[in-house]
This record gives sequence, structure tokens and C-alpha cells, in this order.
Amino acid sequence: MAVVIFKAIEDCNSNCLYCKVVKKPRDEVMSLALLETVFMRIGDFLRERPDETLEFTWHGGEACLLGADYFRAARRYQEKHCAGMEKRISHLIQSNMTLLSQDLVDAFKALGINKIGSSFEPLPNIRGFGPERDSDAYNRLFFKGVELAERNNLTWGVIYVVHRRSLGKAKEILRYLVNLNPRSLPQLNKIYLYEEDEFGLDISPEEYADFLGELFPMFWANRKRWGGLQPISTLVNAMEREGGSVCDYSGKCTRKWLYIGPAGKASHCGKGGDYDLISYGNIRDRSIAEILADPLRAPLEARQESLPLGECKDCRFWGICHGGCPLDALATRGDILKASSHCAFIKRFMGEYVEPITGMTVNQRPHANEYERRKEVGIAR
Amino acid sequence: MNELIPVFAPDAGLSKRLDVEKVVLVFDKLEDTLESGSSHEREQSLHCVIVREARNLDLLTFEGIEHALPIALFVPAVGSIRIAISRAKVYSAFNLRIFLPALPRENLVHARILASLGIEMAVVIPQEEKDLPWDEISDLMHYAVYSPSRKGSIEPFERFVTRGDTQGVTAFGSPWFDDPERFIHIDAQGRLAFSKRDLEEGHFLQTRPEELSNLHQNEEYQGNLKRWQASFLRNSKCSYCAAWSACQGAYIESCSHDPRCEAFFSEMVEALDFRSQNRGRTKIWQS
Repeated sequence: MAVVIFKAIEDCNSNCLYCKVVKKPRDEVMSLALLETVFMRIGDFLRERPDETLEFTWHGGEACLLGADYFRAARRYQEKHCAGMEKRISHLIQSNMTLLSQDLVDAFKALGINKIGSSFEPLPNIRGFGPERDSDAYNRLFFKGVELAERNNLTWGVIYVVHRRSLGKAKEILRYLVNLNPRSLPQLNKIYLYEEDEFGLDISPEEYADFLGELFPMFWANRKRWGGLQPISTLVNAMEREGGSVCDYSGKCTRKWLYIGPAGKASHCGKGGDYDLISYGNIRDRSIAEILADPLRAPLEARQESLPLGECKDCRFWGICHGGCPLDALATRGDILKASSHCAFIKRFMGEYVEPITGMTVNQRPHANEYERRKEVGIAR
Repeated sequence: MNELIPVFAPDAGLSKRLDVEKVVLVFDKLEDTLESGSSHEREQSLHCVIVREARNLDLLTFEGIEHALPIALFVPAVGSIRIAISRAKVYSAFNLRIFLPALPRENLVHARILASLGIEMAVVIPQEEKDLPWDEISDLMHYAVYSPSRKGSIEPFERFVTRGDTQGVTAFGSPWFDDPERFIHIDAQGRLAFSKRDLEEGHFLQTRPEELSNLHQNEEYQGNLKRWQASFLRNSKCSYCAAWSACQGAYIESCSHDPRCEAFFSEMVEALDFRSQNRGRTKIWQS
């Protein structure tokens, strides 16, 4: 499955402290002509690969700022250029839900969107409108969005960004988020800051491990109730070799992920596009197949072969993290071939929390010949 | 969405104004049910009758009461437990659940004794009461949920663990008809309220009994269903509570005085998880 992170807009109605997009120019909106080109490229890609599917994630900025007509246009372009292949395209959307309207909901549903990924912050004045980050006004509109979504049978869930002010409050934050939406457990992601930490929000991988570690006893004691809690669930499943892994730890993003920005700029993923870490040209000029085959992706693949021979050679957590996110390695260590800064998180979380509490020991060192193994399972060149 | 069931004192005129299939009729005395609902049943079927007795249980005789009549009998206390025990077979012969308030504390002991004799029981845990005996309520809940002995069920625990939503929230007060998604209370003037307490305190909906069948679409009704959001907008302690799914802030008045409610409702959630694998059936009007 190919994954498209699609940012037709980077502007946002909110002014969240930790959001990268508020600190870079954000006035560009993808033109309808370019939007049509995107769907033309998707149609070409799916026609060439009859067994392929594509996940199209509307991201931002705030995607709702695009307005319902924009989504209706997307639907028309999809019908025009992807006729007969619509079922192979699944649309998802990431939105703060504060601008949701019935018109937008109808347009989403017409595109087959039945789930909204959102974000929420229980602590005041971190997410919010205006220079003071009015979280009260933000939350009221968020709840209106929630009501509208639920009335229309759209499911929703939230990502929570763990930052410095979250530390020491893991249980209460989790409880708040679970109480907010008991049917969809939150995803607790570490804050990513690759530029100046203007507000002192950044945390170390070890601090992130301790945050999740505080929650792990509860998770382990009742997996029936807490089984969907991410990323803990994914890491435990990987430990038990039950498969399933978020992109950061999969080691499989090389030829699958694609970011498209408002001007058509192509990169690897949201992180790659937001921080200009890697450029695959422009969707105006290149097909999706060409972008996915870009030679700049080769080091990402090579990394999965070189890390097991070098930096990760004796690491018993290799099978869980596969060296972590390559774009993070590039951003934090200046070299895509290195292990990501998340290495310290995995070692601490698994070693100091998961293993002692579960009584299990992880032993997922790289295979002696990792290249041959990857080739066997079809994930090496 | 299920049809809302109106709860009101017998009033043939009011019954005629209601476009619903089922009603709950409220009486002050057990004897008054002798003429219960027969006239009302012509309009709607009876979900059950509520009898809000001022007398203790031991003073009540059931002479002439129809055995099949579903009765929710609210009494302030048992009175003589010895007399009540001696009448256990009488109580069991009726389609009856006996409701006792959680205070005085001896009511909790009596609820347990009578349930152990096979009588269907309930304890009412009032939201407005600040000094609730949470430890004793928890003891009773443990007996109700975990004891394998044959006994009558004890509400609100039984409904919570048999019908509760393991992935969502559950209305704890539903067995005593405090559940606006199931019951709407109506006074003699035809004014509607979300609970008995709202009715008594004069918090009425701005709508008429004739609108009951469409109440789900009513803006005020929808707004009431969203009352829970206030806890989150205020960042109240309930929004951070481990037991939100069981109480949804209903006991905030008690909690600000005595936070042991969190421990009790957390145990309630654990009991739900425990029992969700093996769910039994309860009689429909009692559930």
C-alpha cells in the first residue's frame, strides 16, 4: 500500500505551541489545477499497478480551511482520473475539528472519509487560538466538531503530543483523553522539534520512555481495556512478534511513503516535508511511480542492511525498531544511515519498563545475514 | 434509539397526551397500586410501577396486590429485619424489587441479607448526599458481583455489570430511573424533567408531553446529553478521574467532599470488565 501525506494547505486557524507549521510560511494553498494533477498521477499509478492500493491522508495545516468545495473538487477529479479504481483509494483526514461543518462532513463522506484523526491537549494554553492560545475557545469549538462528527457517524480519535509540560502527568493526561473518547484510545507521540525550542517543550527520548513507562503497568494489567493504546500496543505486539508497527519502527517506509505539499513539492513523509529534510522534486513533473523509485530513497533501503552490520549489530531490540525513523536520524544526527535518536527511547522503555513488568526478555538481534533475510521476505532490493 | 419512557403519577388525562408505548406509573402507597394502571393500560403498556412508600418495609402488607405487577418499591428502611426475613417468601412471590437508600448504613446490611434470601434488591445512592458510605457500598457491590452464592440481584451493580458498556460510558442511576436516555419524569402539571431530582428542584424542559416521542430531536434534550462536556471544559477533577466511564461526574457534589467515590467507581469498572465475559439476563423492567 502506498501512503500519501497530502498537505494542500499549511495554514491553520490554531496557534499550537508545538506545531511546526506555525513557524514557516504558510500562505500557499494548492491550486485546483494542481489538485487535479495529483489525482491524475494517482490514477496513472493505480492503473500501472493493478494490485496496489493507496492511502490518501489529508493533512495540514488545518485541512478544513480548504472548504467543502475543495473536497468536492477532489471527488470530481478522483471520479474523472481514477474511474473504477476508487475502492483502491482510502481517504483519511487529520483535523483539529474546530471548523467542522455539516457541509464539510457531507463532502468528507462523499470521499469515503468515515474517521477523523484529531489532536487534543488537556493542559491550558498550549493548543489554542491567537497569540495567547485561547484553549477555552478552542475546546468549545472542538466539542462542537465532536458532536457534529458523532451525529454523522464519523468516528474520531486523538493524537496527544508528549512535551515537557506533560512530564509527570502521564496518568492524568491519559485518563482525561480516555474519558473524552472512551471508544478510541489516544496515540501518545513524542514531540518532534528539529529547530529552536522557543518554548522549552522538547523532551529527551528517555523522558518520553518514562512518560510511557508510567502507564505501562496499567496497560499490562488489563490489555483488554488498554490494548489499543499507542505506541505501547505496537511495541508490545512487536515484542511478541505479532507484527504491526508504526512507520517510525517498521523499517519498511522506503518505497511506500510520499509527501505532497501545497506547491506540489514531493518529499518522503510529513516529517520530511515539514522540515525540508529530503526532496523528491514536484508532483507536477514526476509520476508517483518515479517519486517512489527516486534514487534518494536508496540510502533508506541501504540503511536497513548497513545498520545490522554496524551500529545496531548487537542490539536485541533491532526487530522492534529497525533503527527507528530514518528522517529523524537525518535531522538529529545528520546522517540517514545512522540509527534514530529514538534508540534511547526504545532501550529505556523496553528495558526498564516492559521487560521487568512482563517478565519477558527481548532477543530480536539482527539476523547474521540481514540482507538475505530481508530479501527472503521481500523487503530488500 | 430506544423510546423514552415517561415516569408520572397516574393521570388518565396525561396518559392520553402521550404518544408512547410504555409508561412507568408512580404511587405513594402500595395499596394504591390495586387500581393501578388498568385504565392506563388501555393507552400504554406498563413498564412497571414505582411505589415511593413513606413506611418501612416491615409495615407493608401485600394483600390484594397482583403478583405479576412489576413493582419498584422504594422504602426508607427495612424496619425490623426479623419481620422482613419472615416474609421473604411473600416478597419473592411478587414481581418486585425493593429499593433502599444507601443511608442509613444499616440499609446496606439489610439489602445484603434480603438479597441472600433471593429477594431482588436495590440501593439508591443519592447524588446530592455528601457523606456517602462508599466503603460499605463497595462491600455490597463486591458481594453482588463476585459472590457465587444463589441470591437476588442487587442494583445498581447488577445492571452495570450485565448491561454496561466496556468501551463507553454507562448510566449508573438507570435502575432508579435516573437515566435521561431511558426515562423522562413528568409532574402533575405536565412538566417534563430529566430526573426526579430535576422535577423536585423545578428544572423543567421547555416542552410538552405531546412532544415526548420526538424528544430525541429536541435541542434542549440534545444539550442535556452533552452536559458531560462541561467537566472537560472546566478541567474539573472528574474529567481526570479513572472512573469517569461509570459516573460521568454524577457524584461531583459528594466527590468534592470525599474523593473515595473514585475508588468505588474504579472497582465498579473492574467488575464490569470481569463480568463482561459472562453476561446474564435480567428481567426487562428491572434492567
